[in-house]
Amino acid sequence: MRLWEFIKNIINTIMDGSLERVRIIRAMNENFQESYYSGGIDRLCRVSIGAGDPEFAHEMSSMWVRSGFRITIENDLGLADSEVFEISDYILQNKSFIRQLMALGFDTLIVQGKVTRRGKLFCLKSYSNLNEYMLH
Amino acid sequence: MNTCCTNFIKRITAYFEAKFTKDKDCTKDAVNVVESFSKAKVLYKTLCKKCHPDRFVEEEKKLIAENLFMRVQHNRYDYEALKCISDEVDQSLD
Repeated sequence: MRLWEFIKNIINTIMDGSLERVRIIRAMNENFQESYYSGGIDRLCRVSIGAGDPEFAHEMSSMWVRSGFRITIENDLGLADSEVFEISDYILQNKSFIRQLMALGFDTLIVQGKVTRRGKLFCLKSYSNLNEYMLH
Repeated sequence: MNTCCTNFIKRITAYFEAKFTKDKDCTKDAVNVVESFSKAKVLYKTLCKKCHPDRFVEEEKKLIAENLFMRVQHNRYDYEALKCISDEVDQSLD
């Protein structure tokens, strides 16, 4: 095997899915910022990777410290539960996006306020309609 | 030795550039989620008003409106889908 092929294989193994994760998170953060600046949304959200709930794990999950898809609400003063559920609904109702997240190793959606830490965890596999194909 | 290193760095850079600019846009759904969060609610309310079945007297239009209204309800969190339905509403109900 040529040296270059060998190095490419190593990079692919280490970075498997990571670049796609980074691209998705960057695109979402840019769009959240634009929407907040233009007045489309009142809560500024920031997307990042966090620790997921081991109970929500599935076959495609990454290790638990990077299996959480975290949405942090930066200005969370007076954040109501209904707002947390509303934000999560926009993700959980989009089946193709959930499947994409699961394929990238995420198993938990975390929506929480930055200061109050008030929020909720959602199990992605419960919303993907893939139950009959999942082992656990 | 020096040119060898330069070539190697060039190849690594080209490899990562190619990986970052893939043809298939994997961020489409992610962008749609954020757009939905900021714009879907307004469009949903507009469409609900536009294609509410009670607005129409003719049986044919009422049926079309019922169908569109159901689709609007089903896709209330999906901005892309609502945009497509909006075009259909403009074509078939105006």
